[in-house]
Amino acid sequence: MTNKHCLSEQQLALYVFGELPGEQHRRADAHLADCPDCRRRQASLAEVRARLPRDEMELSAAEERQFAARVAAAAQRRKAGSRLQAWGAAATAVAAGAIALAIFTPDNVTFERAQQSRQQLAEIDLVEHMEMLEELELLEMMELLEMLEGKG
Amino acid sequence: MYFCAVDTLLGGGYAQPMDARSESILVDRAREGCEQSFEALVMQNSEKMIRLAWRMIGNRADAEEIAQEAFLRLYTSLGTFRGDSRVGTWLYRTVSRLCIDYLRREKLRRRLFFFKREDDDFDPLQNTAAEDLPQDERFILREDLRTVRRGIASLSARQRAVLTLRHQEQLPLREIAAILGVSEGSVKVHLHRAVQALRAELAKENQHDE
Repeated sequence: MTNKHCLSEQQLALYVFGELPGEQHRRADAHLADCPDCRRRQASLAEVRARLPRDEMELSAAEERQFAARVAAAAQRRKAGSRLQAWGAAATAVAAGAIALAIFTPDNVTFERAQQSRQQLAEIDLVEHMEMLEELELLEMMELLEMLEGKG
Repeated sequence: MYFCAVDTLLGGGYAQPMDARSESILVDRAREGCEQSFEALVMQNSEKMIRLAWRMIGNRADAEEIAQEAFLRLYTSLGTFRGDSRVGTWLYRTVSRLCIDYLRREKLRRRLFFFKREDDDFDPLQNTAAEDLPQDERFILREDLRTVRRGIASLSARQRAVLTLRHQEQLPLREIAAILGVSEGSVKVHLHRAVQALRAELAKENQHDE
């Protein structure tokens, strides 16, 4: 039979995990000494805790090295990927700017100028794409290397 | 070429915990592009992070993936990484949150596709010190652990995270609250509900046996 001094389920769970603050813990101790019902409920929660596994896992030095190398390679790939994205965004912005210029120029004289600038921009774009292609080649090489590593 | 001199910062080797000053130097060097320093940070924390993820999700290969993702996020955040928290704390937080996302996705996937992984059938005694027990006791322990693990698998992602951080990682509730970005009161509720759910699961199993 529970009374108003009985411990709630949450208080009992915290008690079992040693998480009741000092004074509350002492009061719980005193109550448990006198209350068989709370003692029974506390024992069933303590049993749950006792049955929980403690999984242990250790990494050998070789496994740690292998993992660190894998992460470092992935970090480089991610860096290269974000650089590609940034170039792509920059190239798109430049192209959009050029198109806007061509559309909003008032007369034929400026149209010729716009055509010239479009050609220049296309050249710049090509140079950037060349760098992107180099990056892509690098990425492919890294993936190939990883694949070969995987096959030992 | 940039000279990292990582070895001078790791006097005790990778197995020894690193002091805050050495770690801060490594972070600075990694930020400046020293790959060796970043690798040293990974080596220092890899075991702890893979173990944490593995304890939370129960699958080694996926735990490594999660730990890797956390390190990659650290790498991309190096530019904005402030010195007011240790790398280990930052990683703890990231791994825990990635695990919660993973557990939620897994639960949804299982519910949608009745998906069952091969490693669901792994021997529950695999990671326990039960080798010296007699055969019959091993059997009882195996069944008991299977029940407990089934109970743990049925918990919500957050309940499971709180239980792992409290029971396996032995962190105080205040720290768990900071890691998961919730209030201490909420952590208490999750812990209490997790224990209740496990008790119900174990009671169900006992009724089966009788």
